[in-house]
Amino acid sequence: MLKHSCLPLFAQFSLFHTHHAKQESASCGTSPASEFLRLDLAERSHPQMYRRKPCSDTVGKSNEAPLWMTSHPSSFLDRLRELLEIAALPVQSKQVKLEAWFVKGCCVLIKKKLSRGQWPKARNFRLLMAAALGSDDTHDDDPEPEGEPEACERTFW
Amino acid sequence: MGEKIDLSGCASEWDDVKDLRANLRQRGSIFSPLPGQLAVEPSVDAAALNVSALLPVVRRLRDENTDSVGMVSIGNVEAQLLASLCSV
Repeated sequence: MLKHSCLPLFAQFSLFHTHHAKQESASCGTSPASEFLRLDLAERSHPQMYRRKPCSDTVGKSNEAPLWMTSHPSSFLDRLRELLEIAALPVQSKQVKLEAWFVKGCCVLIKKKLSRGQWPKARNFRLLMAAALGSDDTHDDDPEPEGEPEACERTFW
Repeated sequence: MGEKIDLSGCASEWDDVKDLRANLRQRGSIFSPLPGQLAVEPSVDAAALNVSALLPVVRRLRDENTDSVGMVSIGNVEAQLLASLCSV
């Protein structure tokens, strides 16, 4: 039987989780470990993602380092990052910040339009202004004067 | 300018809207940029496009006690956005 050290690191990870998944499958249906294993097995259908070489390369060469150590060190981190993205974990905090600023900017825009008494032509934006006023009146007969810039000016809040 | 408002409950309201849930699963965000743009930019058109996502926030702008329009805080919005991400 071949030693585990001649397998890539990710494969060793899978063997570890296979062992634990068998133990967990008797007690509960789905666990984080079995989910990890499921994702791993699903991605094995794409062999181009793996750089595994035949293990016969290392037979009789005990001084040679395991194959996973000879591959690029960032490959395992890349694979882990892919799995986190597949699991849809909120790892992109920058996007959350951008969206928070978008909401803030829209609220400032609505307040600015309300304070100036301007009602843009976009009906959905009128709905937002009416919601901020706590009424259903969207002032459909009160179009905004032409030439008014609609983009939110950069201000310091 | 009115007082800062509390946005708690926005995430659950977003979760009730089918289109927003689908948007979150497909794009990882409840907001859609305007056609031809990579990111959302605050403008009348972008706000009108994302009306269903902004309505829960804007409804809370109204302060019934002082009869004024309040303002959201960035940290408050981020907390609601992360709550909506974790609920999917």
